[in-house]
Amino acid sequence: MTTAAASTIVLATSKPESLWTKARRRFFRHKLAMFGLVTLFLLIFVSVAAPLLTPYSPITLDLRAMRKAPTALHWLGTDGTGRDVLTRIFYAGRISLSVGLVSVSISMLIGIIIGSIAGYKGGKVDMFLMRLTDMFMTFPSLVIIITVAAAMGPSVYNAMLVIGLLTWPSIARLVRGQFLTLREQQFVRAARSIGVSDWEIIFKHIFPNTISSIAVAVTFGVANAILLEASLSFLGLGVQAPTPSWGNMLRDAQSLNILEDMPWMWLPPGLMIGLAVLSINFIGDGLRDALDPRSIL
Amino acid sequence: MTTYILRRILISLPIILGITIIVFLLANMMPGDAVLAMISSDTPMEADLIKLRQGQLGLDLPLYVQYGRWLGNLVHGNLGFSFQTGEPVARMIVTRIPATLELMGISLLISIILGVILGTVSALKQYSALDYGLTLFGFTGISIPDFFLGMILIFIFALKLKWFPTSGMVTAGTDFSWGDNLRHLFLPGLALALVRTSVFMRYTRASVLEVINDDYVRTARAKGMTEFVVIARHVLRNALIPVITVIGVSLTVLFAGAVIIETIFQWPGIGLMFISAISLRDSPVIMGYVLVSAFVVLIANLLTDVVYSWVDPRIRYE
Repeated sequence: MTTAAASTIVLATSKPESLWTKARRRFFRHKLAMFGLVTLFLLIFVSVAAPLLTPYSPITLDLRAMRKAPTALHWLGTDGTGRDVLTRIFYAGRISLSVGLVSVSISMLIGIIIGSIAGYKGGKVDMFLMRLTDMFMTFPSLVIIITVAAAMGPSVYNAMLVIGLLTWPSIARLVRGQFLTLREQQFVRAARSIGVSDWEIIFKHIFPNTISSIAVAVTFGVANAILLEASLSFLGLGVQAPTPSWGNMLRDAQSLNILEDMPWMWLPPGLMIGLAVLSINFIGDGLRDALDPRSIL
Repeated sequence: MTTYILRRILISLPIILGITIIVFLLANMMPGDAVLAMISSDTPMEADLIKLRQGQLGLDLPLYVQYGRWLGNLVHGNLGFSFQTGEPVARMIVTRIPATLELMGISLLISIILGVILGTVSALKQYSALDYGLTLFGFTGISIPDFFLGMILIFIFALKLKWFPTSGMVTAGTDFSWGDNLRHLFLPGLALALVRTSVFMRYTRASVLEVINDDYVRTARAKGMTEFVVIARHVLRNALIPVITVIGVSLTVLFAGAVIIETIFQWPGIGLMFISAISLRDSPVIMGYVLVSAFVVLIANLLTDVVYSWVDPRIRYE
């Protein structure tokens, strides 16, 4: 009886938890998201610290050690030109992860600008911007990305640019939808009635309310961008040799005899793509549970 | 209903026009000269001859004139001619599209059946070990690149176990038989299907969970119906409506995925044609393929909306 009373008092006096604190707690309780976070940090660590972790170069050929199976010297063996596979995987992580980050930053920027203008202005502006978005969405994204990448010429930077410039429509739609509902709310009307400028309403009042859904979309966007870069490089339209990326390492192993007899050349980079994408998807799932508990998927 | 469909088609028209402009500009951005690509590098290049050939192909005209010509031809079903072989692009697409449709069809079938069954099981046993296992499988499915999955399948089932052929659509040098064709179809079909399976599974699971506690389900149970009938006739009937929209989106993704899978398995569909056209800078073929891909998406979206409003009378098409 007394303890119950005491705890009630404690509850009543302690500061109410903010939404962010609650969200953070939900996120850190999410087991898969924690697994994803730890794995992702490990991947980032090995790619950043690659020169400290391995004595080999990812690019210099060593013709005396071609196509060697895994040994104590080369933990994951060597590729067709004698380069250490593990070293290349570490360095490739730099490329694959940064392509994911940079391209999503581009698409996020475009998507947020177009989506917020369309959603806030409504009417003809919205109509025009959404038809434009529809147009971009009408191409299967991989098909149009392959075509543009081929037209611009294959390189790391073009891969970032192409993926960024062609994946914004989904973010634009998401932001627009949020703006459409938020702009009719009391606090926005209040701001408008005291003469706050459009830009300030968009960025100070509405935008902060959309951040949680954008964060979730962006996380899944990074996973998707890594997959797209891998596909592009696999087709020879992304990162070019000798720079390693997980995708182009798989490209080098397409012949049937490598596929059959030298699995150390293609299994590890493929697994790395899967692991990176999987852990980012886990983080995205955790963020969604934490920030947007109403969504069912 | 008819007015709804007609209006949807009318709305699509400006989008289609915009698409043709984008496709045309893209093809013109392609580096490399089509005429130079046709000449082998060891023949002497006569400047006049190159000019002449460019004139014959209309490549020296202003861009908007080229676009106008191209669009005019397009309306008549003429997609131009391959720079490489001189074959009409429309015919190239028509002869190769059945292979792609076969691949996409079997993948869609596998992924819907597997996805719906696994998703329903996962929802009915919510929070069980099985549910967690399937969720994990779902995440893995959307995280593995389809080309890597294809390589794994080739490695295990074609190279090690030798159950299935590694590539192609039929065994070379033999007469066409369905059995042989299906054996070739199995691995690429599976590789393409698995990613979609996890998507269908996750949507079905969420959707079943939404309706499983509704009154009509409880009523059905209270009437003493067997669990199977309750699930199949009452739960799934409503739960699968949102899943239909996913099928529409899936067609787009399958179409794009087929490009990669066809390349790995040397499946002679339009995806393989597209990739080789990309490496040969054969822009009429590329334009033709990209246009077809956009039309597939438009039609898939239209069909989805129509089917959606047809199966769910609660949705009014206004």
